[in-house]
Amino acid sequence: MTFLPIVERELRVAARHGSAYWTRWAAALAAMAAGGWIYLVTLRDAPKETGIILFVTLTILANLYALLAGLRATADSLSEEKREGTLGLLFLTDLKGYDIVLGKLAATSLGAFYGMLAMFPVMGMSLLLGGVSPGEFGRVILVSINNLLFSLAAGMFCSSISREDRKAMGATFLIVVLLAALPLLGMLASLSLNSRTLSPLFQIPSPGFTVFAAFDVNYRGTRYQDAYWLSLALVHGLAWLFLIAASLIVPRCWQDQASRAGLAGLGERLRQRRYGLASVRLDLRRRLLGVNPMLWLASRDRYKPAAVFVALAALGCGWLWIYLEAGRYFLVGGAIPTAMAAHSILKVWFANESCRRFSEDRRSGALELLLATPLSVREILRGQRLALWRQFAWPTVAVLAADALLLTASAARMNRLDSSFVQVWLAGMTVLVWDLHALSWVGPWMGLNSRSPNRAATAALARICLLPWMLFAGWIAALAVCETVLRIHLPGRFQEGVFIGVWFALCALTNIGFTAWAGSRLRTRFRETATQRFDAGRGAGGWGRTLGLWVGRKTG
Amino acid sequence: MSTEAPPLPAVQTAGLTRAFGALKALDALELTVQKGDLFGFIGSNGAGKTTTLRILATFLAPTAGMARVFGRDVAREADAVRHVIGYMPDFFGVYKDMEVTEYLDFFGACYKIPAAQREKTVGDVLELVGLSEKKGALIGALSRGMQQRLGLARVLIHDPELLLLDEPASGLDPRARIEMMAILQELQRMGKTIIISSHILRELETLCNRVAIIEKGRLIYSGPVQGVRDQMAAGRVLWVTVSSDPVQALELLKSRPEVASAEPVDGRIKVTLAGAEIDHSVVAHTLVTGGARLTGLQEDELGLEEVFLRVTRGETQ
Ligand SMILES: Nc1ncnc2c1ncn2[C@@H]1O[C@H](COP(=O)(O)OP(=O)(O)O)[C@@H](O)[C@H]1O
Ligand SMILES: [Mg+2]
Repeated sequence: MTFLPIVERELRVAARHGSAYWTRWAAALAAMAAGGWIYLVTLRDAPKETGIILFVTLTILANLYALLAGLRATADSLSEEKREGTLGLLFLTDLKGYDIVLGKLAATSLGAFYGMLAMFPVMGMSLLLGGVSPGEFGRVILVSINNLLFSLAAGMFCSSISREDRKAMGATFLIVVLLAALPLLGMLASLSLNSRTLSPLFQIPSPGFTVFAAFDVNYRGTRYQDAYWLSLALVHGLAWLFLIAASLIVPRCWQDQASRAGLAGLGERLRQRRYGLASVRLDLRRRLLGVNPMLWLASRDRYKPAAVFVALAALGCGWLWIYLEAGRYFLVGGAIPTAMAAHSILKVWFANESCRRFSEDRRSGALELLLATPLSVREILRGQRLALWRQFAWPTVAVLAADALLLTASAARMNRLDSSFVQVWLAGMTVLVWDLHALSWVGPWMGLNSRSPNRAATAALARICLLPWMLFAGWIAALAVCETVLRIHLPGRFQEGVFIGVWFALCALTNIGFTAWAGSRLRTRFRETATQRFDAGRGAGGWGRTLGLWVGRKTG
Repeated sequence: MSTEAPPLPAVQTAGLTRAFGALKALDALELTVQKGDLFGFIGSNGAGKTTTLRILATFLAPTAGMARVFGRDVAREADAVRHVIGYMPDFFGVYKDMEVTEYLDFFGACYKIPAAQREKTVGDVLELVGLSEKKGALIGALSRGMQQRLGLARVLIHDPELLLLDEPASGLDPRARIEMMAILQELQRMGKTIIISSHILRELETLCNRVAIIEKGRLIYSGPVQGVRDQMAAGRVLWVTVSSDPVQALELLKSRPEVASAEPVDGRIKVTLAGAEIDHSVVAHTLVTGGARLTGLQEDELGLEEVFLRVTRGETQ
């Protein structure tokens, strides 16, 4: 067994690494903030109720965190090494597939695991407030850790079969979301079949269901007691299956695939689809290079704009399916969630795309070549933004049109049209466009400063899309404190219009602030930042360290 | 009476210093490169070659001192400098999924060459670097040598007067290296000024007309290649083979003041002479009259590499 020394050493290295430390603090702080917020908002309720709300909320948060951890930690771990060609080095030693998979799992997931641990004490507060039994608490902790392992393993598996980061992360996301939402899909399916019972096949393999079954209300009921343990075991088994599969696949697919003769023709055909025939490409080049060279650089891939439409169309199909099953209730009740889903897809995609170019090109050294030309920073930035809008303008228009349709359709079905309903829609639609505009400034700056486009996108989204919501939550907490503790009753405090106004104002403020900030940074520091080479020592990454440590151990 | 001004040097630095934190990567570097030179810039790893070239390419600001390219200050007139230089970094990303022509067309557009003119320019530079048959090939599918030549083509697209090439031959096989050198000579004939950095010295020896050697950010030598040899001849080395007792021969040699050192190496004796003016015959005479049976005597050809090692020995150890 050679993997144990690797795991041991990887753990030691990772524990010294700053990121584990910060994840732990961030997770604990987030849990405490959420806990404090719930406490403030439910000040008037009995402590027992507060305890239950706190517990359920934190459980959901912890499991969202757990299920998405694989996306962040493991999904791009093996694929990154494949892209950089460092994976092969490890196979020159006598390491086996499982050595590498387990070693990498230990190295990448320590931070995620610590983050999870840090949330448990805050969840434990609910035990003190009452309403939560120790057994329930234990089950929830078990399922949270289990789901974390599941997500990390799924990420590892997807990483082993991919080379591109987007592919690996997309596949991980799909696997996790599909399995977690399996009971919902099952419910829809049984609705369409007019059957009243949901087959356990839709429940047991789902990590989402395990969470559901862990709560006392469900667990105490006779139906779910065994189901909880069965589901826990099955999800755990799935995790190991993923890890075993990854261990078997990794030694077989680290070589450069391009040289395989049979696939060369296929690759060429795919490429032609993607970039068009020579004449089409020439035409595009002539047109766009004249406008701005960066615009052409970012617009070569014809799939890019199409892919956004495909994703939106998939969402539309899902909507249609539910609408046909559930009918008019869904038209009203589902309108806002549908719009939120569409807006989120658009924002996340836009953020990712806006970060990618500069991050990748700075890392590869391609950005340096551009900066050696007389192309000005202003032109580079403008070309990049033009390309973003070239890709996203029509999808955005389509989403806005769909919003308008949903708004009118659902308003027509309502007995009494209330003006705040329309206000919510208008505010949401405005914020969509505004957020995209803000992201087109903040994204490039984040991308320029990060080795990983995905991390940069997360940072940009946190600033533009998440922060206003956090501030909004803070506002509500402040209101609750005013009401219950200070006994100050602000006029109009509970009017819907005021809530919408406050939310909109917070969105506007963050957008204006961050756009100005990123804009001035980009204009004044672009060249300086872009030509700074990333610390060479960090380039080797986890593998270099693993290999170095391991070889060191073998030889010395 | 001639009123001709002295020719403007292609590159001139004075007191050029660049610090990274406490580390002085460049320490008061004085460098002059004349127009039309094929200039070899030599130093071991970490000597400061890349730092110098990046300052000349307007990527790094000097901490102190100044650097001029054709009389223009790299810090204050960066835009003007960018037009006249072609910079090839030591490592650079290529867009692997692009075709050769697309790549060059793109950079041509970045240099604001009008579209009508670009097609011809791209053809010309491809011709020059010998990649004409690879017009439609994917960059990712090119060999390392070809990618490097494509990099050279990119540098030439706007017809710059000064080329800054940071270790362009590193990682190339001998054949690709020779091809690269041939292209550089051709470019020199076309009147371009070329600065090429390297820590691999053999090829620069015959290629360059002038060299500079730096170590730890300081200039150690700058001038014609021949000058390095002359300057270094002081420590000439002879290889002696004897068929009699080598220990006796060593004793004999060490007793002479003209011999700086003598040591056995691989069955031969390595003799370092104390000065440039000393004749071989001193060694032969000493051995023969001392009763040793001399079977071979050979003087080391002083390659640039050897010179370089000697120049930098004191600094690096
Ligand atoms: N961005 C940087 N930050 C810190 N140190 C640097 C940086 N760039 C170069 N150095 C240091 O400056 C010295 C000279 O580096 P460089 O010019 O790259 O050498 P060369 O190209 O001759 O190998 C080295 O010691 C290197 O570590
Ligand atoms: Mg260098």
